[in-house]
Amino acid sequence: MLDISLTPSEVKETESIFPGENWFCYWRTSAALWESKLAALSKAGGPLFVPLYWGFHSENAETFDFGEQKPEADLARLNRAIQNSGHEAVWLLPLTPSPFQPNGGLPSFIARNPALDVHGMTQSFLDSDGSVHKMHSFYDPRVYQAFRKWVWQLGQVLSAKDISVPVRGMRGYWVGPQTAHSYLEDHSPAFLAGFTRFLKQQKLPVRLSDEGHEVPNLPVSEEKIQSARYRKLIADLYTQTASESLTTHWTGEQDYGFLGGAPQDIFPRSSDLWSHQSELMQDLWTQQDWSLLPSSVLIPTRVKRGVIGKFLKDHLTPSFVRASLQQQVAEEGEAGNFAPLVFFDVFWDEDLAMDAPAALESLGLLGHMQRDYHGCWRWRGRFDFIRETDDDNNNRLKFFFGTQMDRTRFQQVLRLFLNGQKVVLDRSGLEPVLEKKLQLFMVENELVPQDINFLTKITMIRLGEGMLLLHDGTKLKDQALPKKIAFWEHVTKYMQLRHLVVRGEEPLFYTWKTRATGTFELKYDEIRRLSIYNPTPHRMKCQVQGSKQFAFLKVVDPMQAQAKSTPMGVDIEVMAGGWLSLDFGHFEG
Amino acid sequence: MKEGLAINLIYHFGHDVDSEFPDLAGRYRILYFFSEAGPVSFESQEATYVKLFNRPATHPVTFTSLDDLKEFAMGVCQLVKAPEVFVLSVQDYNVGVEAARDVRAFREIYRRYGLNLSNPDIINRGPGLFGKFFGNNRKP
Repeated sequence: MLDISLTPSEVKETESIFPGENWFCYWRTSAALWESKLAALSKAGGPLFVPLYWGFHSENAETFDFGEQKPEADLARLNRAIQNSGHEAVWLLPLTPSPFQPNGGLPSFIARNPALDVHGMTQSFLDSDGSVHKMHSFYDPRVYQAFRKWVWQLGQVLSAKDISVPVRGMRGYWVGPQTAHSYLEDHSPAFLAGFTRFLKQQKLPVRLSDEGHEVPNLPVSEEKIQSARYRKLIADLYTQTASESLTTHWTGEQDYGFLGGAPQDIFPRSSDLWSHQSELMQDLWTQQDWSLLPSSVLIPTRVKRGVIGKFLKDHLTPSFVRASLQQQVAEEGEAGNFAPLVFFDVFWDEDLAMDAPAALESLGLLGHMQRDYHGCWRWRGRFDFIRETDDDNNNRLKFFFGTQMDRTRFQQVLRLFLNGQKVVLDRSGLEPVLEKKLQLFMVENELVPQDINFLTKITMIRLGEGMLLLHDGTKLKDQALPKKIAFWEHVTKYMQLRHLVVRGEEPLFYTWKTRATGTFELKYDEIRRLSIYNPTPHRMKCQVQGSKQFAFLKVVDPMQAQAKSTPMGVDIEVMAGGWLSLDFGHFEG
Repeated sequence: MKEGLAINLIYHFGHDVDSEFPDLAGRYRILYFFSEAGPVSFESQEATYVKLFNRPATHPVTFTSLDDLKEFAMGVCQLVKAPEVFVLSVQDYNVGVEAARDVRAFREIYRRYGLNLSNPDIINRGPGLFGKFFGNNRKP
């Protein structure tokens, strides 16, 4: 919260130090001011996040500065200031280039190889204060060597100075249309050199380009898979190095999505006349779909004042942030908290994420989810199943694809089913050995499959709470889109998912949340909240179609918006820059 | 598209190492085409392409020579009534961005590092009544 008594220059400085979501950029102000700045920051906003800035602590290859030269580099003093202010802090260690730090966070002595996008353009980003930051390649072996030294030194300093703070690895992402991209995606010569070395180690072919450089000599699809493997190898290397050096402090990793942080965002963001509110809003949705914790640190406060700011305030609640840090599905905290309403988890290898939307589109699944379950599904790029230990996650329908299965993953999928989860598996592309394993699994567990033919062969198996639905996606792909969507409508109906339908002119920006009922709401099983935002310069109209299982309760927090109950449902009108929320009671059965 | 604003075009030349885009080897491809107010619509690009080259445009628009690309850039510039167009290769852009420290310097990249093509329709039009009184381009 900003103090309204501040002068414009003080406001500007405060915005720079606290650029959003309780992030504290300690290097942007004098160490003498840390305590007073932190004392002025409200504690109601949840934990304080302190991103570490490698380049600030390392000006040359040999020496590190933890306060010996610059007081602002003194991490012990920083820790004391935070403790004195009474904030609970999480320190963030970037494991990828960071768009909000000069040189992407790297010290300038190793910022030699600019990170390039797929077209060879230098990846550059506009910070909230108008600075332009250029990223540099993490694939340069000198960068990795220097990183190893940095995290080792950091670990030593934290131990020697008795700074007992939780450190979390921060993996940065940007989003494009429907997909999330790691800031480790890089097409620089440094990447290419490392990648060709990797291919040669795998005994895979490389050739000399016209310019005399070694380049992969693989079919495009195979090269994509191999480059994803190499990227993952390097990402894991940085993570492992950091976690090993900071063992006692390490609390895992967190995926952040930087709003306005796509390489191409610098064009609209550097212009005063280019309206891009709708694009930013769309990016927030994509971040949500990819389970990224949004960070608006690149966005100036003036842009965050309207609809974008309202969305961030509604969704990045302290309990949501805490739950994300603990990788929980449901939000913790006092009863009455709304948590995101999620029906589906779609598992797709994060390194091949760029292929995921098209693959789901061809099955009609993406169209179905976007139309009827907008914002109520999540991509899951890692097959870690950490969240599946959470009891509240049992109701989510989990989609898996045969092409993404190996022996370990397949075992995990079957275990999920045995543990009472609802699983949908596209068996096309499943290796014959796994097909055989599936048959054996059914015999061993005396499962009785039910076969139905509807566009493709569907096999349904039930065991207690668990449900396993098998289908052949290749046959589905050839069908017309309305038929494919009808297929998924039947599947979701069979799985007994109940949801309200929202229809209106595109683009519609809305989210669904859910909470348990309170003492005076016992006739309902849950309360669902629909929040609608209009970042466009036009009036937005939509309708929530009525359903016997839902009762419209009330309108919440309308801003230039209205809702009217009709026999058909609820008609909603939101003016440009407006928003509102509607609460519905849900009856089961 | 808002009239009176300069437009910027950034293009990429497809080398044989670009395995992501094997079909674009040896071709010039438009990556970004925009003014300060937003992107140049594909409709404007398509209409210009068809008029100049008498064949349907591909999406994204590609060219076999740099001269064709420049002619196209000027055609769009005239269609949208922009006073000038700045044409930059990815390499030009990279040199410019390397030197840009803040948003002001970034905005100058197109003018400083791009090839400037002025729209003759606007340059030859001469000053209007308002310009005659208040314009800076008076003869000495």
